[in-house]
Amino acid sequence: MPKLEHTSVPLWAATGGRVAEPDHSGSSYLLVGVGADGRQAVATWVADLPGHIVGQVLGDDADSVRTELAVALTDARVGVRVRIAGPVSSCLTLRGVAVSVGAEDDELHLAPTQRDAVEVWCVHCNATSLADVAIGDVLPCGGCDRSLLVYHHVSRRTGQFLGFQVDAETRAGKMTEEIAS
Amino acid sequence: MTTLELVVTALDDSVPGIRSMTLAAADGSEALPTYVPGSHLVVECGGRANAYSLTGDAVRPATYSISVLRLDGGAGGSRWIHDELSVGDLVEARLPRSAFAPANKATRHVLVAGGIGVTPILSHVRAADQWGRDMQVLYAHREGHAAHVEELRELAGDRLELFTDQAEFVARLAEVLVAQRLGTHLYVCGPAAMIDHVLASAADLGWPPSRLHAERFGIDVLDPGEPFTVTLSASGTTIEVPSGTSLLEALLDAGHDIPNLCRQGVCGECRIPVVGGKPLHRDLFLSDGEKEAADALMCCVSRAEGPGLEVAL
Amino acid sequence: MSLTVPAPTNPADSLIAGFPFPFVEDRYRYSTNVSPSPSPVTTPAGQWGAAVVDMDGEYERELVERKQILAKDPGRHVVLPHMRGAAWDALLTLMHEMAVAYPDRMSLTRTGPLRWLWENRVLDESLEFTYGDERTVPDEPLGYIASQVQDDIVLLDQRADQLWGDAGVVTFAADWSFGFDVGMSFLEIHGPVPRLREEGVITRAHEFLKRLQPHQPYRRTNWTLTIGRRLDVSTELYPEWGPDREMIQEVNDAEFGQLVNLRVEVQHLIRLPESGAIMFLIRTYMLPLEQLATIEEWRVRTAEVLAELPEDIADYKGIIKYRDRAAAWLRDSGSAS
Repeated sequence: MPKLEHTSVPLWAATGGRVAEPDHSGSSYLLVGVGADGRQAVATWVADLPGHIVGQVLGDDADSVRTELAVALTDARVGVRVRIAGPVSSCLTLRGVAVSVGAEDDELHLAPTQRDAVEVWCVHCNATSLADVAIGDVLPCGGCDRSLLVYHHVSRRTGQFLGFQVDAETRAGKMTEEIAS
Repeated sequence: MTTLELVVTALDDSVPGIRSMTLAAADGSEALPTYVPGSHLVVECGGRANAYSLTGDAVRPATYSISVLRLDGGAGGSRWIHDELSVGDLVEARLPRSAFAPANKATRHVLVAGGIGVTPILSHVRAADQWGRDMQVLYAHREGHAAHVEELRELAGDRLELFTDQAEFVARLAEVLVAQRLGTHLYVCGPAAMIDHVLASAADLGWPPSRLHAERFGIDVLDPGEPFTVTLSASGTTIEVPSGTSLLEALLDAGHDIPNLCRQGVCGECRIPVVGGKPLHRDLFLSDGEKEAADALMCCVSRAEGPGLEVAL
Repeated sequence: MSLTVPAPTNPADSLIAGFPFPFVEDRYRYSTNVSPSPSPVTTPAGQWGAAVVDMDGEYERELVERKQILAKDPGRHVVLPHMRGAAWDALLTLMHEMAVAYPDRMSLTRTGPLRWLWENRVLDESLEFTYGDERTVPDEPLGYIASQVQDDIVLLDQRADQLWGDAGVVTFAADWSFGFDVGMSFLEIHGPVPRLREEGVITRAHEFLKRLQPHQPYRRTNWTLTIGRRLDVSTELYPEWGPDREMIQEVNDAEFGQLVNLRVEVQHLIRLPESGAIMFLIRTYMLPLEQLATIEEWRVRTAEVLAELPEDIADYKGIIKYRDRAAAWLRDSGSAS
């Protein structure tokens, strides 16, 4: 496998590890916190930030804040920096939301608080499965029940990992053998 | 096909010190190559090659238009265009080159022009109008020296603001910079001091580099630089590069055939590999990463940081 | 298990004559192998590369296949909103290339300041459209032009000193998913390919592309092996074609030579002249080993390349299970004749 930093998988998404300190070059800040740790991170930022805070978007999961984040970004002015704290899966999803609404990489700061279940997109049936898996793991697709390999490839738009059938080459043969035996 | 044979079909000297030229294909072709708005045309001007921003229609246009400011202290290219050219004359040019493109992802374009720097901005305004893009235009110029105002007004209407007073411009710029919704990109072309001011103001107000675009082409005059010695790896010979002489000129004088075009550090033609010493990069072509790598330089404008350089020639 | 070999709609000769044989030496590594296009290349079998957009005897058949794939899986065609101008730019650029290359079959005539008439006499269709006005083109511009050329098309936006794969119509992908990759950077898209970053190949290509100017198209080739004349070997359909990689190990030698194809992509790299986006064209050619081996030079060289190919590259290309047999097959087919 190529080095992770050469792939579409952000290092923090694979390891859940720490990221660089956020920059202070913005003129305003939009803070997003998901989960208890995410809220805590937002509280710490609020105490520390030099510029003014144009909004705080807090919730228990990515879905509960995505619309609010998109609206806040639509209203935001250039100069804004977006900081997102939450579990890895929320960071991936909300990065996709922010990028789709028009934020650039140099306006985004992602601070994962913990590893959690991530979304794996089945390239064969389009279903999304949520599971606590790492790259290289295999999980059953919730849509087509194929065994999906979690690949080292992440969509910028959706934040989902690419999953494809791990045993596509041998499965048919095995089934024939099983039937024959 | 990188060379174009063009014929001068119209000249307009109505703005003092500025000559606007219309050029068509010399072979009578109905359309010239399409260009990215903000592109420049490198024109052979009486033995020199100067780059001028294209101001007209971009999509398979019948003609190219450029506007040339007369620079009496310049190297002579603009004087040649002002003094020597007539309608019907043939001019040789290179294919348009893009180095100041509109950002496709921008949902709004703030365009800032100073003086003759209006030329690439006009090209952006034309594209914004054709594609129905949201825009705002700030144009600062000297009283009585405003090129292309009528065209801008026609295209941008009340989205165009004109300034002849520097304080007024600076104040308005500050207002504009804080009021842009996310998705806006900023473009500036004009005198170096103006570009520096606009970019610094924007950065102070939190604009990230990804949203800022500047065209410094042909505006800055570089300082003559310190003298240094260049060593050629292949032969081991050394050449002195005096202050005021470019490394390119020194190499050409010594009989080395170095491809070159703009001689202003933008076109990328005269890139040479560096194997020793530290380059003093002064070009606008290499990326920041390439400049840090210090293994190549654009010899038309860049020099040595220190006493010498070794190049792989 | 058996696999039906689709009958080629063309005499084998025409596939061989225009085949862009990709190997320039007996060894293959990834490289930034770009060269200016068009520029005809003479091969022992014929010639390729004389036009940016190549039309061959498979033209109509492949366009029908693309249409069917898109009808089944609309995810193969994506144009992010900011790529609208680039899509028009791609349409006009490709029409112009075709009209110049095939004046007897295609024409592009300007009928107004922003109005053009496109005529495609092979498909017996014409379209008068206004550049930039989506109401004047069926589907949307990129979708329409993809119905006129055999190439897959990817459009890359350049911003923040990077390239982004933000639009495309890709129906003949070789083991990747365009629908998943949309929106990624050029470097991210190539992340899964071994060696590219470590050896600097992809960063050099990236720098090259960022500097590419309009009206100066370049091309490169890439290759793999494909079992059966199957254009759509996308990751989406992996469950359908994956089993062939096991099956091929069981077939007899005659079938092996018929089924295994050298698959070559001629990829064009073009800076679109108005939008400044990079247009990446992927034109796929396939030739069964059986036919490849009839050209002695190709047979010998392909055998050498396959035998020597490092494991990681063979693995990524998905040919590790049968490349040794392919090399041996090619060597043996020489001694047999």
